[in-house]
Amino acid sequence: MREARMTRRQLFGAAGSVAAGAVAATALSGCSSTGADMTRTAPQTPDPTQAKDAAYKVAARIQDEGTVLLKNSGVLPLAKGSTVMPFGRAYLDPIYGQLTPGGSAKWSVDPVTPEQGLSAFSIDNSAADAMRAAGDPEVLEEAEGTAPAGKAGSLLGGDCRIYEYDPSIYDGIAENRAATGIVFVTRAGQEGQDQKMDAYSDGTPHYLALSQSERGAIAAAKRVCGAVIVVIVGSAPMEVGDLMSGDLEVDAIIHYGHPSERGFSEFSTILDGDVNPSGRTVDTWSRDFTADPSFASVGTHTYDNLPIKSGGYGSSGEFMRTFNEYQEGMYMGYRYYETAALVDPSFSYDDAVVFPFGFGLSYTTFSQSLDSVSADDERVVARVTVTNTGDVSGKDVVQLYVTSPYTELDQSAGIEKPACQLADFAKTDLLAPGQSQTLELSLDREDMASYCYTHENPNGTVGCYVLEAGDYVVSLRENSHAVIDQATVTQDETLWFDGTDAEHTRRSEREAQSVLDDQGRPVEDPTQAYVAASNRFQASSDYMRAQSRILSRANWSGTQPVFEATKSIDDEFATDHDLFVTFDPKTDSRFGDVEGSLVYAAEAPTSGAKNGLVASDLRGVAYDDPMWDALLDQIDWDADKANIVRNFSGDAYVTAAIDSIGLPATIDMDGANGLKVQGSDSGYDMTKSCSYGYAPLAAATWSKDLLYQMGEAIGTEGLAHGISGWYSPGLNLHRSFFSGRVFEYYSEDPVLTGKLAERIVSGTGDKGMYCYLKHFALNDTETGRDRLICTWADEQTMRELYLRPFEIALKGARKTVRYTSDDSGGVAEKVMRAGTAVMAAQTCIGTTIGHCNYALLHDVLREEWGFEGMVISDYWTWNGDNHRDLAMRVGCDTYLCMSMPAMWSISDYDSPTARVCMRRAIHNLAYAVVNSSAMQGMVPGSVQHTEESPWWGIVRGVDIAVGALVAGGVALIVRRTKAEREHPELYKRSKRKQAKLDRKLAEKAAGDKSASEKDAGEKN
Amino acid sequence: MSRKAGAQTAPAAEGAAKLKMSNTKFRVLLIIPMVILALVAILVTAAGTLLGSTLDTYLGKGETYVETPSDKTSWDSNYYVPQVTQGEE
Repeated sequence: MREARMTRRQLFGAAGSVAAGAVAATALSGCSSTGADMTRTAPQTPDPTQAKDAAYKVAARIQDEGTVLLKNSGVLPLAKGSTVMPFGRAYLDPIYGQLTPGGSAKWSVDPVTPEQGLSAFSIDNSAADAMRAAGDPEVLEEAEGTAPAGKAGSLLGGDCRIYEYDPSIYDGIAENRAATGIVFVTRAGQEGQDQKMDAYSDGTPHYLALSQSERGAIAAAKRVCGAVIVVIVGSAPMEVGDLMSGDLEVDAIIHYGHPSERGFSEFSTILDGDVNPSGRTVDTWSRDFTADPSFASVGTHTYDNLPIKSGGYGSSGEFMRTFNEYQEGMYMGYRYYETAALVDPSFSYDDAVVFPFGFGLSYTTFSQSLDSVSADDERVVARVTVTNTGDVSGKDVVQLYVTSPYTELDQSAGIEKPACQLADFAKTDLLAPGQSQTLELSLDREDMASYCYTHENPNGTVGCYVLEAGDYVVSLRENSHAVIDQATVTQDETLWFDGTDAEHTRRSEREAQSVLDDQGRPVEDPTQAYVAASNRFQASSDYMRAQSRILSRANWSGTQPVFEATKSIDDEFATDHDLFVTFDPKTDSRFGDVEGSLVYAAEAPTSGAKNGLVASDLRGVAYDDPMWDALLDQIDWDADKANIVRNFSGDAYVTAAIDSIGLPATIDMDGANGLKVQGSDSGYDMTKSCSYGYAPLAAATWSKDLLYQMGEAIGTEGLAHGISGWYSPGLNLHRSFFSGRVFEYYSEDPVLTGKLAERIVSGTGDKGMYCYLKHFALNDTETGRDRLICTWADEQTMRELYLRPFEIALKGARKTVRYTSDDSGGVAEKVMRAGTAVMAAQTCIGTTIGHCNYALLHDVLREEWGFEGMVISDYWTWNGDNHRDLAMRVGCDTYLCMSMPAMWSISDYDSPTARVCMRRAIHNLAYAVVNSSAMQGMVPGSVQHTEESPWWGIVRGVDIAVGALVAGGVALIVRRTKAEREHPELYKRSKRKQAKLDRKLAEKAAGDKSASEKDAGEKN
Repeated sequence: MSRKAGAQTAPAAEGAAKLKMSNTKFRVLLIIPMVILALVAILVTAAGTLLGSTLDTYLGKGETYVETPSDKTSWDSNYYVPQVTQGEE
């Protein structure tokens, strides 16, 4: 620990003036109440450049292992030094990721280009020269009467135009059959806007289909070159069925993802075989995206009878609420296609699916064998041996799926069972030719259970998980569709996890609700009353059954999703839909200061106690330890009011300090593809930290190890830059590829998403960073999310698909926390839960927005999943204080919004109910912070301070300069006024004043004359 | 003859070209920019106060430092290893 010994008094003295003393007083406000002699110290942190360089090594491996080889007729790998001829606008100007600063991801400022990425080859620039000579490419706009392709619908500047050169520019290029044509195709992702889902002026059916000009470029490449590779630079799948056969068939297809700043530096190594591709698709690449069941919900759907008054920043009008119904239910992604192939005789899987979920090729071949599947009451374990049967080294991915029995009970109770579901996965090491590796994959037996939202439980609740009796098929697959081998695990008795007792509560729930020992193992308490999952969103399930439809195996053709542009909502589902706007903290029966409400408190908590604690004393202390109460009793609600209110009304990229308990402020940052760091480019400097390929690329590695390392690398960069929180990862699903933020989310599958997230959260946690898992939950579309879109799904779908990634990550992630363990400065380690932060969604479940949703933030998150930590809202700038009261009371502990105390606050700061709720929120926040890197350099008793921001110097300079000018002006006016009084004749005057002066002069003259005459008379 | 002396003898109507600017006009000309400047200063200060955290985000914030009880400065507080260790496969 480096020292700069200086007591508080000395620091005041060093300031040297009253003004500087005031600044120092501000900086030092709320020092440790222990009254100890304090020494200024500086925490040791990694070198930011070293941290970035190390992170880029991880990023390169993610690009290597996340690139998916979709088709290869043998053209790949290319010989080093061979000739390639690039085609397509995306060669000159690919979309590396997020296009603009508007959004949460990092953008690229000086990216490695595809041309630089082809350094191992001889580039024939014939096509590139033609493109350059052609000037700007054609801009493909929307067809008449369709959704705009440009920025009209975008909140943050997105663009769904397709840019490509007219293929006629390639007409003059001479054949070069020795060259391999590489056609680049690119697509964007964008926060705040979904992708265009209807036609363009050339007939291209939507944004994710190949345009006529892109097809023309491929045709030209086929004409000119001996072989053609299509490289897709984008995160979402595209419709590429036509490239598999027929006139447009190409020799190879590579999904390169959004590579970010340096991703193309790996391009040559992948093409020439130095790196053997091992990525697997994270989504099902269907032939026709408009035939996907989720397509019925794409676009805008509006109620005709549900108006709400807008509180949007800069808007105060009334609008009709929109809706999004998850009609496809459990049959999303491969769950739909695999089930359709099983139950629908008219469905042709081969016609419908181009690349299955989990698909990917290699330059070598592998064999996989299912050595054994063993099962006991708790676990199912499969051992798989992978052998490299080819002639080059490579990595393979092992995928384990479960097929559950579909029974009469399921049909009667409305339980849906997809044909197969991913249960676990693993990636091999780099295997040399002939080398084998045996991997162990596993799942909890209870993971095979399904959620039944119609079951009436003995304790009076409704809905629970059920593990039905029957045979469960555990299958080893190459991808979701190709079965290698399988085994059967039998469940003898149906087990309802209805919460009757511990046995009838899922083990994962019991463990999540239990304390951990120092090794991070749950310690179950036989006396503890565990809470089993039960219906928390009854209205949503009821709505789906009453007002919508749920795709069911029991009636496959009769329950297919349908598009409804508008409809009326029944009154029973619209009750209190505007609580967000009308909430009154004094009178609301559920969350108000009303006896019997869910949050009511008759007495205010203790405050202002002098217990001599600061937050740093509680590092490593369990969430329920009484020390927390002692600390929280110290809160000075008056002195700390500004920062406490700020936490509940406007905490953008920070959490505010609470001085009376010594809780330091933190910096939290965005960055779906890396950690944003402050700078001067729209508030950031993209060059200060590593930019990774986007989330689907990371997921396509199917590597838990790599995601853990990515987490470590991001955590280290955070430590280097003093950033403790990361507004990532995004765990929403690729329900529809038309979602604008597919590029920020991992996959269509909740298990792949959740298990990878669990690793990245653990990795960041081990380096002191807390991740805000977002957007909790059902924020799987951008359309309407800033306008209170009502999202409806049955509870089985919610729990098994859309809540599941959060559940897996929060329950499973662990971090090792070092803390001071004794009074002599000894340090110990303990393993704690790493999932200590969650970001609530802007979208609503039912009619209730994520950050005001008690069922979501309290019942599910905290009661069932045992979550200990803080929840933040998503960025939300609606006016009004009352919804901030509501958010804080239901369990949203900080509020993501720019800090504008004059505009936003909370309306009830003083009632006992408010104080109890705020105290709980501060506890949640403090627990996350003290076990993070915010405590680096802080032993027990230490406090952290932040000096006044440098820009205040400019403000003060302006104030001083203006003050001096005004004072000078006033002095000038006073002096001149005085001079004018003394000599008015020297100054111009208005006619009125001149007349008045003349009158006075005349009177004076007359007076003088009269006096003279009088004097003369007297003399005479 | 000094300007002052000359001006003293010049009636307003006769020697207007040599008179100083009307004090009223002078005050108006001076007070308006002064008020504008004062308003700017107030607005800048208010914006700094109200948008402090946002400005911190874009313009940078002050240095953060730790104060440690003087008898504990030798304690190990490197909960996270400051050396960069990851990055290699």
